Amino acid sequence: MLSQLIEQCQRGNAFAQRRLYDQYVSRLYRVSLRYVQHEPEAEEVLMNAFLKIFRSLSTFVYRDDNGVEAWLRRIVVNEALLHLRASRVLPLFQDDEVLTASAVMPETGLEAEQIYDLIRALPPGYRTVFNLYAIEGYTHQEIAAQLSISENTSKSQLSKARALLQNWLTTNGYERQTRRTS
Amino acid sequence: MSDKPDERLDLRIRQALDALPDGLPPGSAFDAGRLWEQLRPELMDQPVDQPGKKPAFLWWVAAASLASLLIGWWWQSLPDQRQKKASAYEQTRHTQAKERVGTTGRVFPESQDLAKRDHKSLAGANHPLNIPPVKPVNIRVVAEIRPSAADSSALSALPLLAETVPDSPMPISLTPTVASHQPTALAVSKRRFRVVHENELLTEDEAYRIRHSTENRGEGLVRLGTGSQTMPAVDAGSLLLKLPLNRKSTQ
Repeated sequence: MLSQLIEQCQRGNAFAQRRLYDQYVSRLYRVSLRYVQHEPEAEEVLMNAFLKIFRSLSTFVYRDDNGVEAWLRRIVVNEALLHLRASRVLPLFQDDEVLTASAVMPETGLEAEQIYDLIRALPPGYRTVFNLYAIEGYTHQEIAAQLSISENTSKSQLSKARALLQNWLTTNGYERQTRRTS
Repeated sequence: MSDKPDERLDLRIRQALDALPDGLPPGSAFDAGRLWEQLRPELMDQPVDQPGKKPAFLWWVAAASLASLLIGWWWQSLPDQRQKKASAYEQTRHTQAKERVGTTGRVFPESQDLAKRDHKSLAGANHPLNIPPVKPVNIRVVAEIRPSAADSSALSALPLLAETVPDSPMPISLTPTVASHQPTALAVSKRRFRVVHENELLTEDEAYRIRHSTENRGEGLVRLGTGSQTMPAVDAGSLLLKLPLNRKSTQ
């Protein structure tokens, strides 16, 4: 089903393009919003990402549905990194980011939406490295190359992001829940 | 060992994010329809690149490069064609002159006419090699005949020195353009004729007569070997051979 949709989009069918857009726009918007702080920026990133998706769809080879989503996510992540570089948010790796992050720590609820909000509340440096390493699966070498930082900086940013998240989760009882389930 | 709790935390966060609902985050002001309306004109302006369909400007670039190549080749070939035409013209004139000399056998008048005609044609055509003609010189063409030994019987009948072909001086304008056509007139004269000045001819004529004449020499002397290849025409009746009488064979 998805393969036919991709094929129609490759032929330039506008209706198929709209269907593909509707199918993935919410998930990709969430991805964009995990990297950039504000919604208008996330919207701009998403628009550029969709333009790139539809223009380079002719080079895409369909294998399975997961491959399609991974390809779309990767394009959105790259666009978000481009946006962060252009807006000079990166590299912004400072030790006092912890204080800023503590101020926006969520207080109630530990559902998926709350964890998503916790990640968005991380400082830009922590958030970017944590998103790339823990969620997208990049290595420290790739992150260092993408963000023009050293691998040690990437590792330290990741460990600080983890410590902050762990602290929030422990405070709200999520760690106990994790230990019980695992 | 210290990575395990961290990895466990990462795993839990990934699982939580995967379990997120498909909709937009709560409280988001994002409008997917509005974004599509912004996106659609952009997609219409720049349609999707279909595989195997090259942009039009690539065809234009290819056509322009091909046209420039053809024009360059044509421009380069122009001087070659001119040179070929010039050489072909020279060759045809050369062969025509040769044929004319070979068929008629009358070298001198023809060559003179040819030289005059060539000069006229070149002057009329504004040829780059056209050089103003030099002042004409009066020359005579002398036929120098060298008989072989077998023709000794006919030696007497042949003239001693030379035969002057035309008596009247024939002006020939010796210009570099005429000299370039040597195969017609002058090449033949190399084989059979020698072009000398009028005064030079008289001097040489006189010297030849003195060298080969037997009139002023005593009778009974036989000249053996003149140093010249030509045999002097001697009257057979005037030959006298004197031998001394003290030879045994004559006693």
